[in-house]
Amino acid sequence: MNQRDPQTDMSYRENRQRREGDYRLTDSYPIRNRSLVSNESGITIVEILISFVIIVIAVVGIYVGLLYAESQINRNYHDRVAALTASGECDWQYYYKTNYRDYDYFAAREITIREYPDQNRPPLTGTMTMEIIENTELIEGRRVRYETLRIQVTWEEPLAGQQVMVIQEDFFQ
Amino acid sequence: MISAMRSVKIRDRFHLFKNEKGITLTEVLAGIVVSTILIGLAALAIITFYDKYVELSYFADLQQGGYELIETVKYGYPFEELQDYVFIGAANADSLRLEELPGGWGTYSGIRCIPDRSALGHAYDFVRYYWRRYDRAVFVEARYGVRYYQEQIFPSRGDDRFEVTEFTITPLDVFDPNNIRAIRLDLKAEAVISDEKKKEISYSTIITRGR
Repeated sequence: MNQRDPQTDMSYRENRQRREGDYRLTDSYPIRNRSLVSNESGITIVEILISFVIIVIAVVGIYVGLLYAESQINRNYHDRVAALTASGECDWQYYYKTNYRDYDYFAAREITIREYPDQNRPPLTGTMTMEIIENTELIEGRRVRYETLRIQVTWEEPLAGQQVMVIQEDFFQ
Repeated sequence: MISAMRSVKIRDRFHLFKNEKGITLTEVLAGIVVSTILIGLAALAIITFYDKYVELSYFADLQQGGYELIETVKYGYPFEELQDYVFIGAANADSLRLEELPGGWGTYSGIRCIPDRSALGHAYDFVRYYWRRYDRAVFVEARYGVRYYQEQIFPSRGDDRFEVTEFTITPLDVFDPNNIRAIRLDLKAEAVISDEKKKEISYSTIITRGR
């Protein structure tokens, strides 16, 4: 018997409740069906907090990445300044040795790695030293003497500690 | 029976409209506030990131450009020669001479590098590197064989991000002004990021001839 009486057939009522009961606030339905807010498909405070946390983590990540990139670019710049200074000094010593048969000796020399636009901020300085190392090498059975000119620039890199740039060149006699 | 069924249907329709699922004004306002804060935070992060990215990118390009300029002055500007390149710079020149070129905005200081002129057709070869105050840029002017070159080498033409503020060549250990053997090259340049923000570089090196 497929015919059903809408007044007595409970399954019909259950179907109807299932279809629309959760949204109805009439007296004919139980109180448990009034839990309107809990059944809304919205966002909860936990979801908002999670969104905040994700955004904060992303922002902090970007910020840390930028700081790292900036420190690397600054370090790269300081490396270039030191390399140019040291290679220039190496050129000069070669020139001096070639023309005056000796080196233009110095023990240590202060160099400016970077000057900042902010006048209150002290410039980043380093120290350039020079060293001559006597060496010998066996070439085709003959012992050949040569000198190694070693130019070293040392400075304190912010956030990275002491940095050393060395350029050396051999002078065969 | 029919009347009872009809009244149930009408009541159901009435409840269907009345009990539509929706959101309240409070929820809308709360959503707007929360969304504004989240979008504001994200936008602030993106703007900060982009500004810093531009600043760092300018600074990195400025460093690279300045370094390449010094390398060019030292080791030479490339001239195409039979599918190869000839480099004429201060380090490989036969002689060096400082030059002051007159101009509308004062004199332009530069250095003239004379290469080996022994090859046939190259008796008048030269390369001159000089700074023009008005353009705030370093140029190369050269003659190689029958060809004549003039080019803005740093910053490249049309690149208004950078300005060369100093390009000083100081001769060292001078015996003959027409045959300088060593120079000190001081280069200062800046990247203009905004009206208030600039990044500067300052390079200094010694270049000797005949290495």
